Amino acid sequence: MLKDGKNTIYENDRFFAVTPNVISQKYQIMVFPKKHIESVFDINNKDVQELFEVTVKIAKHMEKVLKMVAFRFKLNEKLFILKSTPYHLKHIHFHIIPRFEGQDSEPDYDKRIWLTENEKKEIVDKLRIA
Amino acid sequence: MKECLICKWMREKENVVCYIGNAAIIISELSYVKYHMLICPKKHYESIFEMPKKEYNELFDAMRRVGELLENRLGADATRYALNNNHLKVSKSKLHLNHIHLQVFPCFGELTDITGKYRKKLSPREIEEMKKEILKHVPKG
Repeated sequence: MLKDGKNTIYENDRFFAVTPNVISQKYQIMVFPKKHIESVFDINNKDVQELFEVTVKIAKHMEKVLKMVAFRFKLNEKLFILKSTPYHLKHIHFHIIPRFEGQDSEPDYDKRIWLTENEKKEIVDKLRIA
Repeated sequence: MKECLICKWMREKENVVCYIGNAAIIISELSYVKYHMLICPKKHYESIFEMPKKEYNELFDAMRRVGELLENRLGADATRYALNNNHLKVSKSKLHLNHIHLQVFPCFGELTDITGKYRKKLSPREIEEMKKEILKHVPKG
């Protein structure tokens, strides 16, 4: 997803954030460390330590640009070990799932919506952090 | 004004397993899975954006330590983490707590459902037993 840049809303030398190709809620974003890290446990690993901080900063940006009222941060670790989710991404990442005024119930986090190229472009253009 | 439930638990020391710096590790009374825990700042913050960087980073560090405990000593195979920010501003549900809390859901052999379909209320005795079980494995200091 990072190579062609079509999904990227933010990138620096150690982290990047993208709109995934499949979402459960419009403007859902994923935040990754660039290094391939499979566990959050290495307490002294700077790329893990600062992942949360980068995620908070991106959420702040989303609040400003989208008038996002609420959000959920989600991180799943080692789900690829479980029989029901063997294909879960091994590379750790935070999800930011926004919620807007008027959305009385929580998004259906299991919903799968495939974005078209135009939809992706619209999201990236709106959320890109220079 | 009604007291925040999380502040009450910390004040009365109910449900609190231990503290890691400024983060309280609390056993969730409404349990989605065994060892379902909440990681909360001692201070009553209602949004992550109110928190100084140092404090929300402490929350994340505490979360990682709890995750490691669950997977290396308490038998979890995987862990799911979630933080809802400001959901009370849009939600009619009375179940949301407005004190910031990072939820930790261990997975034992299968994907833990975090929709709340299978949650159950723990009795004070069950909470006390779970606390003792967890504390057996918490490294001293």
